Amino acid sequence: MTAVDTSNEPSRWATLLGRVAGNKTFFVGFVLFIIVLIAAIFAPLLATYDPLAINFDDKLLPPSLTHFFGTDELGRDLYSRILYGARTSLMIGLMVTILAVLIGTPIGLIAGYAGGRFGFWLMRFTDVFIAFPPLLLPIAITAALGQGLYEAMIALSISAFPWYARIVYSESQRVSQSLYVKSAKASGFGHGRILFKHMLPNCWTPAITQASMDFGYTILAAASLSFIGIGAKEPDIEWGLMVATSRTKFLDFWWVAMMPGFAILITVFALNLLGDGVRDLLDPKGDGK
Amino acid sequence: MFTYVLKRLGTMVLILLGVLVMTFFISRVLPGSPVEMLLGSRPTAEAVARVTEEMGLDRPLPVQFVRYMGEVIQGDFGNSLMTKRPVLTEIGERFPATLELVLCSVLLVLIVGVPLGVFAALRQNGVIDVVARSISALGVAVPTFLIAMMLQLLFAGKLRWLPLQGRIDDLVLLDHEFPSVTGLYLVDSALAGQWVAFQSAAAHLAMPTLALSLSALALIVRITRTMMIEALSEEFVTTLRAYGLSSTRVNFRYVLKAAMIPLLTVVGMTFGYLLGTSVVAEFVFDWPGIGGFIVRAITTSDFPSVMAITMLLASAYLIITFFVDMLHFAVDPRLRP
Repeated sequence: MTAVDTSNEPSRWATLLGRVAGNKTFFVGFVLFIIVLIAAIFAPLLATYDPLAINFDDKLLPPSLTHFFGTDELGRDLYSRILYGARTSLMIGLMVTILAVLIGTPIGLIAGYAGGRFGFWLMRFTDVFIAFPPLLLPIAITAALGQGLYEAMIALSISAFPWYARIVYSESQRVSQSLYVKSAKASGFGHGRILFKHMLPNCWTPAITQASMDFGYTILAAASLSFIGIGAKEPDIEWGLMVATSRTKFLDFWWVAMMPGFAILITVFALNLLGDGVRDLLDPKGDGK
Repeated sequence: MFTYVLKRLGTMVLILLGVLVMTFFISRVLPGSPVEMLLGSRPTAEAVARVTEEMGLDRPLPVQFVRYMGEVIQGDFGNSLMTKRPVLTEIGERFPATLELVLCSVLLVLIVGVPLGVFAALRQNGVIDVVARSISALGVAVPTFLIAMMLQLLFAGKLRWLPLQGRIDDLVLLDHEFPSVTGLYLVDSALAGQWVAFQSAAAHLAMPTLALSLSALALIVRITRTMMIEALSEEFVTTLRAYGLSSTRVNFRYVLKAAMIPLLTVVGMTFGYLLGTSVVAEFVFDWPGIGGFIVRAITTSDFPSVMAITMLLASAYLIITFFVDMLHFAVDPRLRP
């Protein structure tokens, strides 16, 4: 890094931070997200107990100074478990979104570029995946794949990819008619090169916007799957599962259900605000705040 | 117009066929063998061979698919492996419960959500707008199961106003029986004049409806508000105002009308959205609908039930979307092809 670069860096960061701070909702989301991120990254340092340690002498203790969020029916410390749960949820959100983008983008890109019958049928194929009410397709897919954390993640990716295919498709259709793509074709470039070097960089902004807005929903959907018993399984540390296992006890011991429940709420809330902010930054024409 | 409707119907049938292929595919790669499911864990080799042949599982996949499709078209989805009864009977018994829950939620969402969105847009940054925006920001972030359990904690646990779960009090049902006409308890009990049963049904319905509605409400409020703000910024609004029309008249007669058309799509979406999330609400409240049934079917590898429910809900979703599109053309002639 040269001297010029370092002198430039703060001002650039300052403008970015200025924009972040200028947008109140984005700022709130940003701060909350940083807290969740710190919880996830530094879980082993911040945890006060082993999240898997069972201790029947301490079961169902209310929140106190020794157990910040109380303990569950197996005497496990909820505060420590929620910290580790942040890792699971962020990992799920990230993996599912990346996988969905990786499947959806090439499909939409190729369908828009190829056009004609092939493009038409490729998009009708993705339409089949959109024909299901939300949550139903992942539920049906876990019936085939089996029930577990990774199966749920694959199921969620499969139900999310068509949206990316659709978004990229409409961009790709437009871009494939542009002069530079036509001239690239005329110059005899290979299809792969045109698709991924020339067209992709001009097609992916809406997909990224969509991805940032879907992140929270993905975490929510994954928690719901775990909650109804077809997602994460013990000993996975997952918030939806933690709420589910408390179901028989929560009327008398509210914290066992509410603590992990609020963790989901705060995380998804933060991610939604962040997603809106990213949309405003990337797409100034979008429908405001 | 007619050819467009035909084309649209054609695409719908195609997509349904795709859904059929998909459910078939899902069922055939299922890990738990359906034969084992039927015969228990240690069947004899002959029994396995017999059932495999009976179910046609030894035939090539395309043959199996054609056979499956033929049966589905005749309305035969096979027997549930869990209860050994026809899947369609199982679904028929449970669907009214789901429908009642979803319909009540749709009504609640529209009655509360649309006005809230409209008034929020009319007075941006006013009190209603702040309430509306908080609901829409929080509502999409709250897991349905969390809000459901919070309601249970408050209304069933602390206040003891509402029953914790179920669809109706069995004892009440014994004393105040009513004939099943629509399958919707609220309607049937009212038709029979059994108000005690009606009350019990309504009390049981209250929490599931609220829990199911919140996230859809958040979406509707947000979208209505955006549509309304967009419609308000149209030039015809300025013109009408310039002509001296009262703002109430402009807002509710003209602007609302313009905002309503895109809202139709949203109503269709809401239906589908609620059908999907009802699975979670039904699970929490032990609601005897198809949502709870599909969860149990999955965990017991009851693939005919899973396939049938998936198929039926997807069809319902597609048909609703189709009608909403047709409604669009009825309301807005400009959209007609």
